[in-house]
This record gives sequence, C-alpha cells and structure tokens, in this order.
Amino acid sequence: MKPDMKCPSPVLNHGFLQELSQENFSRRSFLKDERIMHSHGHTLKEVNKFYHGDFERVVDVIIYPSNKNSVERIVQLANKHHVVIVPYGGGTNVT
Amino acid sequence: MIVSLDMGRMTKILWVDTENMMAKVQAGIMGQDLERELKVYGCCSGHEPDSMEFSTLGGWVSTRASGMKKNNYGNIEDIVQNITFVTSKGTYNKLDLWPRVSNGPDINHIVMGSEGNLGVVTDVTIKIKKIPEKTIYGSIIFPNFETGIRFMEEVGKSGMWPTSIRMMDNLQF
Repeated sequence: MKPDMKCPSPVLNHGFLQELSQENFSRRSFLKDERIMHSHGHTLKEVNKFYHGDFERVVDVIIYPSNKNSVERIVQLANKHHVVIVPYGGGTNVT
Repeated sequence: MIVSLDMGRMTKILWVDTENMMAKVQAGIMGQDLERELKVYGCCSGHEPDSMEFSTLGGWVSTRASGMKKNNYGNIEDIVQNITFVTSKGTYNKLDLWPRVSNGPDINHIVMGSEGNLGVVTDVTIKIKKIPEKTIYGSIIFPNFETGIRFMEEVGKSGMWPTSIRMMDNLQF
C-alpha cells in the first residue's frame, strides 16, 4: 500500500468494547496497517485502490476468537450494541 | 463500529473419521494446511482453489468456492457435510451426518454463498477421500486454438473427464 495511505481513527462503540474486555478474549487490534489489511478482498478494483488510492471506510477493530463459544459471545455482544461484524478468512474473495 | 472477526486462530482439525470418510475442521484453516494435516491420515479434501495457500474453509463455504480438481472431488457444496453457523438468532447446524436427506430444504445452501452476511462459519464437517495412488500428468499441443476448443467440447460431451483439464494459449502460459 502507499506509505501515506489515509486511515481514519477507528469508530468506537464503548459499550461493546467495555463488555468485550471483561470476556478476556485473545488479542484485539486497532493498528492502522492491520485495519487496512482486513478491509479488502482481491477484486481488481480493491487491489487497485490498495496500491494507488485510499479506502473510504476500513474496519475499526480486529478480534481473533479461539473457539466457537467466543464467536457466539462476540455475536451476542455485537447484537446488543448494534455493532457490525465482518468475518475474515483469507481475504481472497474476488466477487 | 465495524469489527473484523479474523478466524485465523481457529485452525484445528477436530476429528477425522476414516470409516465414514469425514472430518470436522475449524473454519479458519487454510487449504494447504488442511491437505497437509489430512495427509497424515492418508486422506485429502481434494479442494484446490488457486487461492488455497491463503483461503480458508469458512471462506470457501461463504463464497461457494470451486477447486481445480472439482471433476473428481466436487465443488464446496459437494464436499460440505455439515456447517456450524453462528448467527444473531442462534447457532445453526444439522443434528445428523446423513449423506443426503430428502425431506425439507437444505439450509446449508443458504449458508453457502452468504459471504459473511448472515453469520459466522465456525466449523465444517467435510467429506474426505483417500489420497490417490497415482497422479498422472499429460499435455497435448494443438496446431491452433480452434482445434483445441473443438477438442475441449468433445471431451466435455463425452463425459470422460480428467480430474483437471485446462486449455491455454502462449499468452496465458
């Protein structure tokens, strides 16, 4: 990506983050590069933007669940606090 | 607020059943790792998308993925036996592992292709096959592209399908 790629500060839902911190899940990240890397797939348009432009919106936080129960808890909390979840695997979607 | 739920820490194979030729695997495992770990049991999933070094089982389910060897192993909808799918309304999965059931719509087909819009895939029970005894490669050179196309059409109609067959010209090669 461009070294000066714009990445706005994360939008934070404090209710969600507060409850999440009580769950003692593994790592969560607000780092700029990590947020950008989790915000695109591999369509031509996205890849072009990644190399030459800026993304209008990137994810705000990345969470790494370790088991099904963690995922269920995160989805519950997201529902309660109206937070959007985007599951991420390899990030190689081309559609 | 948008949360990215990176499944990269859910990569275990939960069990392998070489009697019924199935395996239950967490959704974050990448293609290459899955094949390598199944090899220990003498088995494979046979699912080989071009992205298999990076793409995950959950991703294949979510995008109705296809693989290079689908003539032999099927596309993801043929490989998937059961899915554990966490949604806002609860966690979905089938209660039994029958290869096929005639009554009722197959909810797996709503999960597959939903691209992360309906829930999170946490694990998948897949069909596995024995690693083939032989892998044989071949190539045919045609005098021109048109002859190649006619050949491919004939192969397609004959039903004599190699595991994988691809026609290319010099530019693509």
